[in-house]
Amino acid sequence: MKGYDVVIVGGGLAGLRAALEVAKQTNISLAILSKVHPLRSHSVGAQGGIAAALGNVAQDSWEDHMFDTVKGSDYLGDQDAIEVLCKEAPECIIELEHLGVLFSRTKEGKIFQRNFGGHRNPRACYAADKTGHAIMHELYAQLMKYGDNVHFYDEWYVTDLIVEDNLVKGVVACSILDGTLELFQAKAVMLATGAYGKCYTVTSNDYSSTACLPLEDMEFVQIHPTGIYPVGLLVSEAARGEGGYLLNDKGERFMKDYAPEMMELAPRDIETRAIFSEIKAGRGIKKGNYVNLDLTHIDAQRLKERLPFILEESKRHLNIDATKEPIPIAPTAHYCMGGIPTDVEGQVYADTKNKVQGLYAAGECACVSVHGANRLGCNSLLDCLVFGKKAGIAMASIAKSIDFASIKNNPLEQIKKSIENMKMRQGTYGIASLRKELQETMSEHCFIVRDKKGMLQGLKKIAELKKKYDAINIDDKGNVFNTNLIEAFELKSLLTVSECIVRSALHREESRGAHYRSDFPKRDDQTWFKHTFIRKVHDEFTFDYKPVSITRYQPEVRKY
Amino acid sequence: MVSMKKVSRSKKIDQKKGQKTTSKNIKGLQKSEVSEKNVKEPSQEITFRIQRVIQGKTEMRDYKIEVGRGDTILDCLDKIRDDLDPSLSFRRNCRNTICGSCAMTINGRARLACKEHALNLIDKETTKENTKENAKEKIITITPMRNMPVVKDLVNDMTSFWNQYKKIKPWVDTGDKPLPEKEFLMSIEQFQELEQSADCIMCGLCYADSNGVEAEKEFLGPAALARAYRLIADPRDAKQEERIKAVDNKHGTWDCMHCFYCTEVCPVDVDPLAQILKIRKMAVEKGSTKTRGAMHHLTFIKSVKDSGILNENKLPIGSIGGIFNIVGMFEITPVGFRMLTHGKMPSLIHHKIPKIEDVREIFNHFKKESFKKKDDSPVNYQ
Repeated sequence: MKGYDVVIVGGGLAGLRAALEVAKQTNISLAILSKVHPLRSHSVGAQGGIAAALGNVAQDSWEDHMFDTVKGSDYLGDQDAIEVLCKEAPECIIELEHLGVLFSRTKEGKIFQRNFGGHRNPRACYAADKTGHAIMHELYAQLMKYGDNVHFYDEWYVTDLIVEDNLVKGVVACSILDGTLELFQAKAVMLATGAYGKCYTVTSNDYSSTACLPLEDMEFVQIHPTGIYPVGLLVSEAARGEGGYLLNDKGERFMKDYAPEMMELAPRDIETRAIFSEIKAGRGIKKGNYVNLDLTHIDAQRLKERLPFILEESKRHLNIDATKEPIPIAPTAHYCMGGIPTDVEGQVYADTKNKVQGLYAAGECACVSVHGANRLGCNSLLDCLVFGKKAGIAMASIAKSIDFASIKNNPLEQIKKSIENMKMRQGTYGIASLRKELQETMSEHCFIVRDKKGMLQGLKKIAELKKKYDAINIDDKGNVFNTNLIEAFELKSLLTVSECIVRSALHREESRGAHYRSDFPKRDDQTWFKHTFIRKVHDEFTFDYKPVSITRYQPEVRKY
Repeated sequence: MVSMKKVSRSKKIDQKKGQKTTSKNIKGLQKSEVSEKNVKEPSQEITFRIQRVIQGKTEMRDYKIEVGRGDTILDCLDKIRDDLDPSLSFRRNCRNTICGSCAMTINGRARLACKEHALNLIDKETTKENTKENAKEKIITITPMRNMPVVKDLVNDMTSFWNQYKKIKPWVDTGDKPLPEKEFLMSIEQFQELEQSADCIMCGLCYADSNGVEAEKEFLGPAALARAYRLIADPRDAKQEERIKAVDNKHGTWDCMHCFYCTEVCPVDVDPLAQILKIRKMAVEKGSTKTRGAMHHLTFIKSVKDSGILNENKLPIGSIGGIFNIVGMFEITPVGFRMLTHGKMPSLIHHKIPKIEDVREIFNHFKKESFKKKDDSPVNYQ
């Protein structure tokens, strides 16, 4: 058994930001457990930017940022949390800059800011189109400063979280490198695991995105409008921020019919549904399942400076010179607004009212909720930073004020047995084929447009898949870098999470943000202006509700 | 210093086989691929010869799969693992050349699996004058990276790589500089100067194929040195001098032997060699002329300036600071002796080339150019 005052699960942006806050304090032992090396985390893939009302390029204010975020969330975002997010954003960016993050600059030498979907002012601070990479590499480097006081466990897979009497006591993790199973006792634990985009066939997410307490607003999964067709890898919204057009087969900027004012820079749920409608109406390019993202009218030099990664990406995947030809794009699963419910300090809720002592969450796996029913571009990195930092501060103070609690039931032996059992499985189904079936099910029955009939079918298929899971086959029986085994665990989580998404989506009989029901196409504030909490107890799912916090802006009709 | 950005090598050594094979510049080939864009063509059957570690034994195994145009090596590895052998282990994550996970040796060169298209690779190898047998038979060989121990199959233990990164104190350190209320001001030019080295994704490809690392395990390696330059050139950093000093030594920049592989294999055009050369230049300009590397450098220059060609006999003696360096002389004498006995000793008589003034004119030209560059440099925003 190992003991650390603070254990952070996940080495992405939220995890590292929290770690920095803990590391700054002396005499606190800290471990960061991540199933990949931290610099391989998907945060490095964030392209477009990070929002903050610095006002470096045009007049801006945190209140404007807040209003845009509230409206973008289709009014489901909690306004107390959004206020924190937007007020603290400028300070967070300046901190990053002082830590060495390289931001693109204005002529005056200030941090440049560009336009982004749903934001009325140029607010996205960026580093070309590799913003996540730029931030992650500097944060990680800063943590090196603390030497052995910050203990990284790279390539450790966390199998269990130990919570007894509503108090977190540690985690159990397995080393991917050699199969060692270890119990990490802790005074405070943070979950910063990222999310679960791998439930879908076409996704802009990486492979590591899988995560499971009650879960909040799981029905809201953001489908990004512009994934490279057909692979689904992301073309950042920055492409439209820099002036890119969306064109249908007739060469029309079809967004004029859906968001006449903001056009290509309306929030993502609106853009995605517009593309979906165009394709459905037979106006996809050559009547196919994609439309074009056109950058050719923008000065090539400017594209090279501001969107080098997008140019390289389209060349690599499609042999396209995006300065001369349009990029074929189609919507791709991208971000999960829902997740582990937390308060504004990052502490995790045990139910709609009570919290778990010592347990924190931030980033995409968490739901504060600042994104509500639809996240605005550039607000996710900010979410990681603001709430990651808060969680870090809270955990550091816990570490100093309490002692380790003894663990009553050590689950290590039981977990060891279940891993050995799993390894010995000799069934008929391979992990990959089951995962593919699950992704196809989710993409068919719970994607951009949903209805009751489809989702019921989806649930039936998931139930079948769960049965099949009992008869999986594990080929790799070894202990060293057994990805076969890890993927089996991940698939189990994906099945649970997918079921939560479908059940929550089926439950919410209205359309709001990214959740669009063709059988209930209107927003229904009377009944559904509330957060849903779904909880799995044994094999039963139960629902609970939490009211939305309103501090400044009453729900209005959402037009762009 | 000469820009090393577009490096072209006419000959490279296939380290695995120890044979010399001719190959074209990778960048040049990529250009010709672009022109045949989006060709719809039937898929081809390709054999992947993959290094496996099965029950502690290392062996090569063949996997045959159908590959389409546009399938990356990573797509193929996924297919092999999903459909043929789930026990195959490799690292991978973003699929988009930004996370650096899927670094491995593909057809003898360190590459990212998500960046290389399988059929393009077959085409590239078959278009060479000396067609490789493997390419004709449509075989792609995949082994783990070199210069680092293997954990399993295609997974390397990268501890040594990360240790070298830690050694250079990889964080921006503003030291005692007062922090401004808002951001530090930085010019667009300063940003652009840093951008290239900061683009590094720490995939380890440069470290894996570096001849310098192969020869000397203590060598910091290209990635760590590129990171060092990124910090040295950062106007916010307060430790420029200390940083230069820390890498201006034997296992720092001077262990680099200009094999150019780092620059050739880098998937994101960091051009580590260029960054290493920039640090060396800064070190010498700051008056560091006493390291062996710098003395080697300066003796080289002086010799060419004086006589138009290199005096190979003076170079080793100049590199240790002259014949009065007794310890140094003891170190190089055995090498000299071996050269003599193996018939490799250069002629003791060194002639000046005719028209030596032309060579000096080149020196003068570059001296002027470098001064001009300094005049154009942007205002210091700090």
